[in-house]
Amino acid sequence: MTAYQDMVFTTAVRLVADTAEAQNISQDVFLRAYVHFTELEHSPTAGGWLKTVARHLALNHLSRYKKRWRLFSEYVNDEEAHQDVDQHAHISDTLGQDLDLQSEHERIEQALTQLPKQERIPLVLFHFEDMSYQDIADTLHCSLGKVKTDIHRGRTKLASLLSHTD
Amino acid sequence: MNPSSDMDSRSVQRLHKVLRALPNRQAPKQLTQHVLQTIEQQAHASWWKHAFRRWPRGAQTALISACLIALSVITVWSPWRFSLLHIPLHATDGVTQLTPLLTPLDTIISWQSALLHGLEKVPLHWLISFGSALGTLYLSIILLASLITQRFSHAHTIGRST
Repeated sequence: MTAYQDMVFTTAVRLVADTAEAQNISQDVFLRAYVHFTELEHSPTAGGWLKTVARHLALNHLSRYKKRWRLFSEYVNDEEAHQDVDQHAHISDTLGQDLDLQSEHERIEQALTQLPKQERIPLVLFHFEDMSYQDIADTLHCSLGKVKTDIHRGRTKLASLLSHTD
Repeated sequence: MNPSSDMDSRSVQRLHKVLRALPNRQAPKQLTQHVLQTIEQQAHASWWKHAFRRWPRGAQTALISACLIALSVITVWSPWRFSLLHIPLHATDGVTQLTPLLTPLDTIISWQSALLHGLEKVPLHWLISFGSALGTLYLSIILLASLITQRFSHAHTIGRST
């Protein structure tokens, strides 16, 4: 469990952006793993199984608010969506290569949590979970175009947040 | 809006690289403790509180047998019980003064008849057996669990007193 707990917790917390909720989700993941302990004990795919369960549980948790989120997201017009976002923000070449790596990582994680839910979730699924646009659209039950737009907005906001704190 | 207009593919690749290079966040220290506590609590819970598939083999067999026996008994007895509902109409002829008192009963009987006439196409044994099976299953679980719990707690008390 100690070998996987950080990975499981990270998967959950990047999606739900709430430490307490991520801890509850991680706990559920390990309780499910305990039920399937005999199958997972010597399985080389145990890590993948735990990560997948963590992702599913986190998305299930978020789906409680899905309707509200979708309604909000679809009614936000472009002008509002781009408020306070520097359209010319770019990712610094030295980002992630600074000497104080730990604080740099914390800064990026903090910026991720500041993204709106409708942009953070598809962005996390794309960049951290290796899911394709189509898979994300199927998982979140929304259109391919909306996923692409939300991920793009998320990247732009993330770049803006990171460039503002440089 | 063209998604590629504001952020070129080079920036996207760089962002992807930076995000993928992020290490895992450290899980709270109490996570392991909470998981182990919950597992321990579940392990000490009574066996009948677990899912049916995790019950002892003997208990599973006993419950299924009890259900089958109860189902058979009820299926055999059901035609006799159903015959009680067929009250002849001339039976109430001599008691017209009691009509106000009998009206609710009459209404219930007429509703039952209507319902049963509607269900005529379905074999009666099937309907009664289905309802009985559900009820029996529910009652058997509660009865069996309470009996065994009582026995275990009695044995535990004796063990402690000795």
